[in-house]
Amino acid sequence: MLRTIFALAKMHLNEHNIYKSNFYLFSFNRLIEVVVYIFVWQAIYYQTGDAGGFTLSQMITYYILVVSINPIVLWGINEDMGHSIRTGRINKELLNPISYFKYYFGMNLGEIAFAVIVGIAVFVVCAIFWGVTLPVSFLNFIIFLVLILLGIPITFFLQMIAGTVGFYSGSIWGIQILRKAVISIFAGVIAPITLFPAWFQALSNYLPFQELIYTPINIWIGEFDMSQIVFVLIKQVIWIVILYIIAKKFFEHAVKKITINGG
Amino acid sequence: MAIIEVENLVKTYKILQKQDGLIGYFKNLVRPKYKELTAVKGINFNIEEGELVGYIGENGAGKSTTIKMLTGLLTPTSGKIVVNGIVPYEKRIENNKSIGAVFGQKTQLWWDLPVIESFRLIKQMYKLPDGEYRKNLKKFTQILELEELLDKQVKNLSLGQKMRCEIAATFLHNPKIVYLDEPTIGLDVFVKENIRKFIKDINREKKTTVILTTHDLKDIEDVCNRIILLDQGEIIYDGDKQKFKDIYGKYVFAELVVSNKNGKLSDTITLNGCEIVEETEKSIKIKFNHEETTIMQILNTISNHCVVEDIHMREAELEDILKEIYKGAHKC
Amino acid sequence: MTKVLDNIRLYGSFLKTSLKEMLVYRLDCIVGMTSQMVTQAVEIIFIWIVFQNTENLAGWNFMQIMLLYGITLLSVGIADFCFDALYDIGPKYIREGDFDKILLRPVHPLLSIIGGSKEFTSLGYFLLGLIITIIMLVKLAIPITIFLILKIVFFSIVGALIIGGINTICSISSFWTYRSNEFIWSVYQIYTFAQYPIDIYNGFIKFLITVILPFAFVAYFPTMNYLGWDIYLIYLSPIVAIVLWIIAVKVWNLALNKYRSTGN
Repeated sequence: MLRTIFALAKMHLNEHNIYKSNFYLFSFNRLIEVVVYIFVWQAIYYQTGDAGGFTLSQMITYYILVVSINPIVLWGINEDMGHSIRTGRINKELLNPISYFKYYFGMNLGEIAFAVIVGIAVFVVCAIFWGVTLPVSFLNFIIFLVLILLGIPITFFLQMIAGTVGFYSGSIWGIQILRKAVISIFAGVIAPITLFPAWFQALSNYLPFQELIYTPINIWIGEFDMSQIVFVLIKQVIWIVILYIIAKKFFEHAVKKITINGG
Repeated sequence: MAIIEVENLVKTYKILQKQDGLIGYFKNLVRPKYKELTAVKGINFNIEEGELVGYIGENGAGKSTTIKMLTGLLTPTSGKIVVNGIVPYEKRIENNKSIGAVFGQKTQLWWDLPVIESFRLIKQMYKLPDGEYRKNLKKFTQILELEELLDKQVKNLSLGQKMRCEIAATFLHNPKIVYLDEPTIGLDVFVKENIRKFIKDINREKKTTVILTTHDLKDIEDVCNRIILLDQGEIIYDGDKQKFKDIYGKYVFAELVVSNKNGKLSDTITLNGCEIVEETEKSIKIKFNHEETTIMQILNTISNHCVVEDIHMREAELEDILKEIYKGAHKC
Repeated sequence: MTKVLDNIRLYGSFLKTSLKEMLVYRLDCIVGMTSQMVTQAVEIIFIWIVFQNTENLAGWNFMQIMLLYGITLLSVGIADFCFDALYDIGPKYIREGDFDKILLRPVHPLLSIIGGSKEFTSLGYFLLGLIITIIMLVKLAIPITIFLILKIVFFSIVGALIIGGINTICSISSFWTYRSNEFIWSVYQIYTFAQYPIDIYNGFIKFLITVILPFAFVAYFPTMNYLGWDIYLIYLSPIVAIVLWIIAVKVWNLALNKYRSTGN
């Protein structure tokens, strides 16, 4: 089973490799995003002597890491799913000897592999231009990686939920713009969560999103209270289970609808 | 034991009734109106391993609905389906392992990648042993002439090339049963023949059960040995192809080239068991039942009215028979 | 001149057809519009957070930046509405072979394509831009005179034409790769720079968004005019638009000829 999933991942990555230009364009887009953020915070720092409670180099590192990790969190197989529903290819995919979930999970891994390559390239270029602070300790770096890995099933199940909406509405792009916007707000893509209002921070503490980007980065730059780490890890695992159940049940309901009244 | 058992199979769809205009659109949102449509009305059949079955009928007769139920893509409203010992809509993935399917021109091949990569994925997904994979690939490549295509990206293939690859992909994992829903649609004669030959070869060698729906009756004529004929959701014939022809195809077509004809023959003479289909100055097309009359009797009568110079005769083909059946000439 | 008028009339009839087409997919359209507005919320939240940390950004306060944002959305909304079809040239027309059909029409292929399909969901941008612009004008106590309204209407259209011109120039990449939509979009991304005061950037970026890709003329210089900070730069916008479109049509024709001669 694992080998099938890796085979799917490899094929999806190969699809990206066919278009070398994708890599440059996608990396370039990431860079523009980070440049805007960096210049704005630089301006704030020079005017007020403070960058939202962070040092300027911490803030720059924050945004460089945001745009480097961001593709792992936001990209995925939603477009492919939408295409499969629109063209009726879904019928063929439901006849595969492995489940639709596993099939797309494999493809999603391929997409993430591509996102990691883009992320590393962007990180290296940014590090050369602006300099980044390295992780405060090796342990912190490991925990950083663990949280990123735990994020993979979470974002995958979110995509499956968004994609399943497409079974009902026939179109997937509206809902997935929404998915990306929600993650961007709650994961700390726009700005560190500490800069949001208190009620938002309280809410965000119980949602799985800030551990996708904000918390790992804080661990990297050493702004995270390590006594919280157990809570965070347990929380993520619970969310993985919850989202898995929702995604699975929702998907099964959708498939039942298709198999009862035609695709 | 039959590999496919179907008993009292019924499928009823609920169809949303569209209401016109903006007001109708909102009405649809609030209180949608449905009407019911029964696509398959309690059909029964058994298919044995290794059979080549032509599943035919007009558009909307319920062919695709049946195929989708057999593959587990649709849940029956009532009735029983057992495929290879499994109820497909209950254990879809289990069922998937031993079947293959083609739906028209929709392809399972990966658009941007070379064909061979899709084949490798299939090998991986179905856990096909290396030796078996290589043996099949070699054989399929030879019959379907895929040599040049395997390293091409799917998007660069023509329709005929794509369908040949698709057929190969469908049989690659040695499925016990293959459902082919319009596999030859839009293809030219050579590709069609190529695909038919392939299906027959594989069936002979591996006893693969094939269920074929198609609009091209040449496919059936060439490939199948059994016919299931569906009309408005009901089976009106199920049995041997040759027997079908014998029962319903008792008539023969003949075209007579004539000269010195006086007026319209159909007005002046009556022929027992023979019908004049078309008539011009130089030719007469007739259709006759060879149990009621013979060509000699007909010629005897006709030659009183003109000079017969030449005759072309052919037996009724499936297409002629079906045309008759749909016109209501035969009650089954 | 009559040729230009003819083309405008033709464009109008294209528009009517695609409006009818959209009415068929009303629900999709509403979902799309809402989602796009939520995406804009992401940008607004960032601006809000910035001004939680500073009183002003290079001399601009929150409301002034929001006015710039509103004015930007007006032009972006119009531009996305009118020029969205440029994204389709590669993936839809060239890849599916429909481009050759377009070449057979008695209309310039560029006009045929731009008129071909409309992105009605981008009207969501326009609507949001309109609301923000009005609120900010009131809050900033800028008198809303007929002259100001005319100015905003005119320069929003000019701004849309500047964006459209740049997109059109980028769209010639379609003749080499059918994934041109990603290239057009990437260049369009550079627009983000022009949503903030240009003084926060270094010389290179300033040069980039005023000369190489003159996005600053879309909304940034016009907004400075509305705020009464810089009266004259705004009047360069129409000239920029005209120059861009002359270049766009020229390079497009060149690329088209090359495409035709090689047959691709």
